Amino acid sequence: MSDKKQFKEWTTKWMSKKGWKPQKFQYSTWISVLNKQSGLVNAPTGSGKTLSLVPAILWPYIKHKSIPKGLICLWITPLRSLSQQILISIENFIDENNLDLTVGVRNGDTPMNERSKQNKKIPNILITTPESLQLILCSKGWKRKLQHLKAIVVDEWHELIGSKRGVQVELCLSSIKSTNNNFIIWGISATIGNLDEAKDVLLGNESSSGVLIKSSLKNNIEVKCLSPKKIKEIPWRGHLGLNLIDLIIPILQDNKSTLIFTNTRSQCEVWYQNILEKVPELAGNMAMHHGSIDKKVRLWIEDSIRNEKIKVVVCTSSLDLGVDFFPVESIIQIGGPKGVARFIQRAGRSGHRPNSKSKIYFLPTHAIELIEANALKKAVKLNVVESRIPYILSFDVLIQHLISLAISDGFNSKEVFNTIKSTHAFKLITELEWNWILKFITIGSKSLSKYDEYKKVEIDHSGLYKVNSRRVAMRHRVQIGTIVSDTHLQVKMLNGRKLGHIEEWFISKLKKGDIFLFGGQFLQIFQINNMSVTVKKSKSKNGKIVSWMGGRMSFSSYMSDLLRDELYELSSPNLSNNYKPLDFLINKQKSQSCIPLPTQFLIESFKTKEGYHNVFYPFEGRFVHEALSHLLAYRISLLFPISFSLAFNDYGFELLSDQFLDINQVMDNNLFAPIHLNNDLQQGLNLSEMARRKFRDIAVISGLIFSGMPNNRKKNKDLQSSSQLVFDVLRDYEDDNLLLRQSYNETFEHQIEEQRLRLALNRINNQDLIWNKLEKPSPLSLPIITDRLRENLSSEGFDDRIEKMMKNFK
Amino acid sequence: MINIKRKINSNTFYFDYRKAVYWSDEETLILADLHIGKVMHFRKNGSALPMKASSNNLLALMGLINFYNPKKVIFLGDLFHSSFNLEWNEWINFFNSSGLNFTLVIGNHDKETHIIKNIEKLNIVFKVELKGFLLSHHPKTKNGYVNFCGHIHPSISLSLIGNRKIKLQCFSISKNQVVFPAFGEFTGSFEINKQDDMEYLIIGEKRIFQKV
Repeated sequence: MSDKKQFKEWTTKWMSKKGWKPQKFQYSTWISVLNKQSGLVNAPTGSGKTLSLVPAILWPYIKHKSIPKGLICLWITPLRSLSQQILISIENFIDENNLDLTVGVRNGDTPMNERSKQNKKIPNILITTPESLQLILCSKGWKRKLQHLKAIVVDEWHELIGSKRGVQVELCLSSIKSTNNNFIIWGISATIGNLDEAKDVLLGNESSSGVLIKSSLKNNIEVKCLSPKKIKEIPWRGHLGLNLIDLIIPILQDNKSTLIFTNTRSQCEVWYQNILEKVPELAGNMAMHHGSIDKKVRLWIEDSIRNEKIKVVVCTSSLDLGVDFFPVESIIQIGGPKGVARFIQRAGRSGHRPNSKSKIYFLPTHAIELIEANALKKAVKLNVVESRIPYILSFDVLIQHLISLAISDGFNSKEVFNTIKSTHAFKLITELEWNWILKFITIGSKSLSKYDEYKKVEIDHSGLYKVNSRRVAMRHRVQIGTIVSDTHLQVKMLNGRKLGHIEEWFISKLKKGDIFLFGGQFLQIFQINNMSVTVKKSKSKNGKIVSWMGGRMSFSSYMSDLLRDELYELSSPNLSNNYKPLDFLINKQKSQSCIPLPTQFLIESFKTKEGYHNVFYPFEGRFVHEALSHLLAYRISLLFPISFSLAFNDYGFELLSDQFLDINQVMDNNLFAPIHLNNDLQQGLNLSEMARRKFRDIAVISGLIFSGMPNNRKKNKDLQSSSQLVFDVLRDYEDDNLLLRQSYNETFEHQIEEQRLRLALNRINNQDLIWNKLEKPSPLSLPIITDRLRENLSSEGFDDRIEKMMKNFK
Repeated sequence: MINIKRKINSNTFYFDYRKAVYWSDEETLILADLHIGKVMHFRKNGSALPMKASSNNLLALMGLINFYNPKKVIFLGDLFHSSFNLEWNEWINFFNSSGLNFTLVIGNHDKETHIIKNIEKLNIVFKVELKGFLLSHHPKTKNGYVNFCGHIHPSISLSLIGNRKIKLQCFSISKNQVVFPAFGEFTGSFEINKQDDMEYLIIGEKRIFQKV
């Protein structure tokens, strides 16, 4: 009997014993694995994707009942919390089939004794994270450890591909491939717009022989929009949505379990607090889950959801991933989810049984989100989602990777150059860039200078690049990773119980005795020392609400298209029933200004005591608006000296100035033309903070700044510096620095989304500009002009601006 | 204005946009927090910062010396950032060869006293008391004295239209105290809270500004 036939017989038997039937995508994946092919399998969460790979990978050991030598399978997951689930799933499989295989988890949570056990005898299957994988490459003799490897699985690849952690995985895979070419690589991904590209990125230059397997399972999602009966209950602006809280209470009471997704951690805190006030009997049955809550508490919450111990969880994107097989009955999304993929993923958290319906309620927090809701409904029906753009030429991640290699066994520059060129991320790296990187890690500058004590990587007599300093190695290990966050302080109770983490800049505004809301309770600061805040519970109900600087999300381009289409419908005199609650506001907008047609581009100008407002409505998402506002401000500033304050949200942007701006000038000078775009952005951005913000991650990942040893931050004080300071120093003294350049490139590709910007400009150029001069702000402009996050651009001299400011100095 | 003239206790001081004060009665230049060797200290620990950033400190000081032609230079502490490294050498050479009188009021970063003490033309003191002025590194109060100090690295934020803020280094001046901005490149600054009874002289690109 052929091997495949035998396998087929065995799986059919095993699955029927469990009452399952193999799905088509599982079967195709098994056959490809048996054929020793690599590939990417696309299946929704909860569809049995782990089992689409495990049986086929372990088949040789099932068939021969043999015991493998060493590590045969590496399973990489983006989240530590996922590791536990995969461990259980694989362990069950092994137990059921009486296999003599060991499975282990290795990530940041793995205790020391477990680690040293693993070091002595590595498990046959190791579940790990990208960061821990890189740490393995930092250890001496890693090549020997991985010599028996048969398969690497990268789980939830869609979560990694659009981030630098994806690059980290690409580099690690390429290094392992260079020492052992006997293993296959498989990715598992939810649906994203660019699955083919996702496969190419994962498999690098061997992609052409890899397969892409898509499951035919369709999402079965019902979207319900919660809108108030009375018109005035829905505000034009604001983002908390608390005045609609009564709409969700019945849902909480009618369902066994509910997840409430909010967009920010502070929104999460406020909602938790308010629900508790409305429905006090939920106390003890409700929890809050966000990224700043202590890890142990989060794990407890995840377990409690699984065991149906709690009824309601208010959460942020922290629960987007992982925790499969929830017995959650319903999902509530508060405020716009900003993207279709995210919305579908969240909806998929409910009704996890095959063929059961997922139900998601959408609660708009302001009027335009009601329009968003309709757009989302359509998107879910069409099941089209966004692409995730892979990072390329992330030199910071490359530097981190090279130093890892230099720490373990050292590397040969020619060999490694060829290896990294086989990845998608670095296939376009030039020899010039490569040499710069090598110089950066060895002499710390472009040319050798006489008096220098730079220490990192040394080249020995045989040409091997090696780290010899133990201090350098230790620092590097601590700093591995590509997720960079602000400095955090631990929040703990007087009795030592840990509550979570809080960003330093928030605490720095508070003093002893102040009260703030955190983790659902009001806390009073007892003392702040070193890296921790000691608190005690407070009876007061008036505290500051912790806000976090966390990334603000932007509309995806697909979402913006949908939204624009919906919006244009509002200009028609006959509104669909969905928009009845908006009647009043739409009419006000129409009478005061207008609702643009598809052929029109609306600009509104008006004066308030703040100054002269000019509001533009491209409806292209926050990131594109950020760039557009800079571009336009820069181009106007070429016409005459003027200073602007810029504000933007997902619908439009504002240029605020202390002088009147004649929009006719903008029209006459064709300022929306896409020509010289790059150059103008470069100039405009030089004056802004965008690249500097991107540089923060780059500085930490590449090791330019050191964030300190855990629990020992004080000791390294003379090595602390802010990335802003480093950015300024590089800009002033080494403007051709590759990492500095990278911060600009990232701004272009990932922040501004240059391609999208071009498309938007082309569209605007073909539209008629409508300039409405208003007496007071229109309903549409309110959410934009009240945005508190602002940027500035000016063509007035720096000192002249200070002079102006001094006049307003309070 | 590149500097602002102030009379304090009938002495004349010029507050310069280059983050130093010239005390004309004593022909003395005063500056604080140079943090020499910081760039190299980072390099020694594997952060590839450009060395040019540090050589600029010395050029900036020489520019000031050429401009005011002082007899004496007083550093209000934190002259050196960390342990000895090669970046110190060009400074030690400069101190020993320029023919000026240099005084260092020891700061918390100036830890390698055994090396600093051996710099021939650099006087080491813990404070300077002269004509009713008390020069120190940390802020100090003493009856009847006006305190000149460093350590804080003060900066202040100015509001732009639309509530945006911009942070600028400054001298912060009260009746009995003048806090100096940090002179060194790559030293960072600390935003202080504005107070009504204080005066701030703000460092621009090529000018110094005062509250109007």
